Amino acid sequence: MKHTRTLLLLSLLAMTGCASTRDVRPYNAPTGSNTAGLQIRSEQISGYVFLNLFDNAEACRYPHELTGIKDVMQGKKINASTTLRGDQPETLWLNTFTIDQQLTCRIMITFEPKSKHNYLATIHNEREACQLGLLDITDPVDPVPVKKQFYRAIRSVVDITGSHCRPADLQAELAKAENATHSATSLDDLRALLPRPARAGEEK
Amino acid sequence: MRAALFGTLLLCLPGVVSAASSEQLFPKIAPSVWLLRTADQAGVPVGSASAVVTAPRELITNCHALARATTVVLVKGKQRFAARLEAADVERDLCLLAVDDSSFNAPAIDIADSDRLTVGQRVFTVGNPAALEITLADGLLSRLVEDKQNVLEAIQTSAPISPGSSGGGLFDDTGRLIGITSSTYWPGVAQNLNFAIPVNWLKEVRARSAKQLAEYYSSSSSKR
Repeated sequence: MKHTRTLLLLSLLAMTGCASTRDVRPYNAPTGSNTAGLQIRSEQISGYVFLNLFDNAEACRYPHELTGIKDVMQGKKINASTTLRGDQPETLWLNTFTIDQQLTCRIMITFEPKSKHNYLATIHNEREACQLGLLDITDPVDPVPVKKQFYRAIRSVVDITGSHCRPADLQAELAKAENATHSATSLDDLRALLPRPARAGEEK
Repeated sequence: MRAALFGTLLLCLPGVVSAASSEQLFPKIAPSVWLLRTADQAGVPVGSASAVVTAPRELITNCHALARATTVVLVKGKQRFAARLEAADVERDLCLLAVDDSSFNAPAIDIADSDRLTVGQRVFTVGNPAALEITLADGLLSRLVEDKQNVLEAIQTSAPISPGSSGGGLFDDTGRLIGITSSTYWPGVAQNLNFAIPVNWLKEVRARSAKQLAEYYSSSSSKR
């Protein structure tokens, strides 16, 4: 039964284009003063959860696994901590999927951890939705949502250069996110639903 | 003198709003809050959230609830209505949906003035947490989050908000909409850190959407 589940899991990974075991390497947490702390927590999860970080945050190349399949199985809670490079953009990639429903959920966000700050990544996954929240918990009494972050456009198929997302001007996007009032959602995320622009001479 | 006073009272009465019990509130609010399901081009579910009817055949929700979707369907019991995106103010995470089907006759909710809120007042959330249809919960208005210009930009509440509650309503104790429940942080250190977008921002959605869409299409066409 155990082997069947593992085989099923690996087949699902191959089918969904999620983090494949082939190109995701273990993470070597940086040390020193130019680092930020990252705690990762979840409530009891349903299905499987992977949280990866890229060497190349801009083009989402060379993923490393922050949480692993050995630790994150159905019914468990995540409670892990690590460090990140400080004062430079980092891209986090959350993959969750359910065995029973064969549903996947993928979120990729870029943010810029500040050196000596502590962050909390909260993972929530259910049958119908998943969410990756980011808080600055440097002051544990007053956790502050990280505003300077934005969603990445995930490629359905990894490109020839190993890029998992559409490259973006990180500093420009982070600045835009910091100035935006609320949402990290872009009009690109809604493009299939957007009202078509009226052409010249066309009635609205 | 008494007649004058009585006349004044009568004039004031229609404006008096009294607190209702949660049992009274739910039937008042629930018909205006809908479960929203999104799917991609292949019909695979992308997510579920909530939406509140703010005008005939118009609903407000969070834009993040619509991200990466191709279709949007509103659900209540056995009823299903297709919705389309009418306006998107992504900077404030407010998206306006329209229903073209004229048989959609869900009542528009009463709307309060979110500039007249008080920390400590009792509030209610109605939404669809974890895709459970229409759930009522209560709490307190914990903090009014203001920007550098002291303009209200978020309402912090202890009333529970879960994934699926996004786009649902935060209501005062008379059942009037005061905010759109949008985000939460959990677990452990961040209990009861829930946020709603002030309802007064609804008035600006169309104008802000038109501006953002014009910029978006102009930058898209210049990239081609």
